[in-house]
Amino acid sequence: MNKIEFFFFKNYLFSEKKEWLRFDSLFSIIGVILSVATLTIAHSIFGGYETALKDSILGANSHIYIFQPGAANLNQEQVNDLIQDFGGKKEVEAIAPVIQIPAMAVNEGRIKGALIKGINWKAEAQPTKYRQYIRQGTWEMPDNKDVVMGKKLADELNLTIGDLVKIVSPLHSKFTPLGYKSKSKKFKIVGLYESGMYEYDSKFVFMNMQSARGFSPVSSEYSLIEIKLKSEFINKADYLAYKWEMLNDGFYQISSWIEFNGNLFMTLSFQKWILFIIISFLILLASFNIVSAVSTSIIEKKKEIGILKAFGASSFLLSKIFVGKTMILSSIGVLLGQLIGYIIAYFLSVQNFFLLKGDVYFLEKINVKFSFQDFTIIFIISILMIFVASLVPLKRVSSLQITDILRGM
Amino acid sequence: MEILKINNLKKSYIDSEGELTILNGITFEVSKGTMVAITGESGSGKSTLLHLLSLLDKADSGEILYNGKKITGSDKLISKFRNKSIGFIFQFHYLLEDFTAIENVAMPMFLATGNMKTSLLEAEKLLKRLDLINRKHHYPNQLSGGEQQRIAIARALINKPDIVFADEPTGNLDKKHSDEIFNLLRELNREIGQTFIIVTHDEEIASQLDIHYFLENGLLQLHSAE
Ligand SMILES: Nc1ncnc2c1ncn2[C@@H]1O[C@H](COP(=O)(O)OP(=O)(O)O)[C@@H](O)[C@H]1O
Ligand SMILES: [Mg+2]
Repeated sequence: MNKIEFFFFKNYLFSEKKEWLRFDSLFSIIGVILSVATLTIAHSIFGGYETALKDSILGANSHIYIFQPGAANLNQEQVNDLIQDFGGKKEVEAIAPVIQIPAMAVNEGRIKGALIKGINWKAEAQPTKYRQYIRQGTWEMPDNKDVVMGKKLADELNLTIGDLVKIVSPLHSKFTPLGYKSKSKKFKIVGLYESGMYEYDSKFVFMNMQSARGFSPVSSEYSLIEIKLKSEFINKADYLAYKWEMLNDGFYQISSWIEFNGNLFMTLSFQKWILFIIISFLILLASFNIVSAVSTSIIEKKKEIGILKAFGASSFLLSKIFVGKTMILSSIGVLLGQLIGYIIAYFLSVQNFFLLKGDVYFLEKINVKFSFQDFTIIFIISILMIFVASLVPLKRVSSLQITDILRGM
Repeated sequence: MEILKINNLKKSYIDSEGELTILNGITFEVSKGTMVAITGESGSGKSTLLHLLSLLDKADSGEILYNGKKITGSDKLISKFRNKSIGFIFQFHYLLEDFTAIENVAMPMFLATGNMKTSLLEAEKLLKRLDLINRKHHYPNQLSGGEQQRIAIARALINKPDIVFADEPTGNLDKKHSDEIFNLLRELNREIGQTFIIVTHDEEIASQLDIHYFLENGLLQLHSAE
């Protein structure tokens, strides 16, 4: 920065008069702070939602699923073959078969729909974040009576660790002389599972393979095979699924998380940026205040402009001084707005008072994403808009004639 | 050698009542180191003339030669020349209210050089010379009328201009302060040999200067001391 402008900026900020403390300049800066804070809150919460949703979906599920076409199950032999086949692939981090059976969980007359997930809990390499999502209790289910239950499901049934829960499978029901009888068994809750996804936390009931098989019509069969990819391949899951399905001549149906949820994330990301653009209009509005504050300041400083011009200051220098003053104050306003926005967003994310509706928005908790990239984008866009706005009134500076000013207009 | 030579300078304004000719062919010369007084009735065009001579405004026709040369070029070039070679003292002090006395004095030099440190040093010397050193950190509104005008004089002199224009520099001061200012200008003229062109309505002062012109009907004439 040239020394001359710097001298004027220093005087502007630190002289006894504190020109920037005046109502109209403070007013326009408060507008900037509020609009930037709003944008920051909206963007960081939307981004947080997007990230948390993706984390939960990709954490509670694996990335690639292998099915037998036509809703049939995989038998032990097929499973062994597939694990042999895929386990060694460089993209694969973990692979395991799963049994999934729709069921109901019952406690004292309360009945909730549930999904039995028979898993191989012992395996070190799990295809999902099953172990990380245990909020209370243990992930170990050595006993055939042990279950790990979704926390929401347990809450809704008024159950907690150590309680007994009855699991009923209507799939495997039969008529007996005593009437219609479903397969039903009592389990002990050894752990509570919480992924953050309402849909999962209110449905999943994990048990060991053997127990799950008790609900299955055919023993030694599996519903599907789950594959967890190494992180660098997660976004190529659809391509890999397609490739592997082709390699197996379509004998198995291989799908990826992108097929199931890819559109959701594209929509979310699109919505996030639409929202960003809409809220940016608030900053545009705040910029109008800046235009008027700069105009006022130019009119008020007309005499000074004339004097400085008479003593050798160019219009360009004077314009730089006006824009510079605006930008110094506005940058502080933008940064302050971002800071306030992040603080408010942070508080929204740690409180439990305002929650989202889990059945509508999947997640209940408000999540916040702080990213340096978003911070920079918001800063640059705000500053750019304000900069352009501050240029609007500058024509007055160059059109001011010294002699008009000296004559007192 | 004439520092300033004016040839047939004309200026008129167009307003709602039609064309108003203010200066109708001004021709005169000023030799280096002289003190020139210009008097004239209010509205006769004295300020207009001074603004043209100091290149703050443009004439409709005619020539202004500084040391035999016409000053032409972009606004920026003219502004540079003015900053370096011409000093201007206005009727009102026109000091910058946000800056201290010494900063005001240093401003033209600072604008020319971009070096605040040497500009302040130079301003300090001038303030000492004008007996204002104890006022250097005061803001204009903390100074008396006489002090304000002396600060404005110091500002006009900081770039050591060859010629200084003053438009009724004591118009707002009482007799005592007014005499003080003129004595000061006189001393500076003797010490440094700067050329002064001073518009005043004080006939007594005007008659004490080297040359006394009178502006009337758009023409400049030597004042006859009847
Ligand atoms: N920009 C302008 N437009 C129209 N008339 C002007 C303008 N500037 C000055 N005048 C007129 O020119 C005349 C001379 O003005 P001025 O030079 O200020 O006189 P003085 O300084 O001798 O009192 C006045 O009648 C004034 O009204
Ligand atoms: Mg005048």
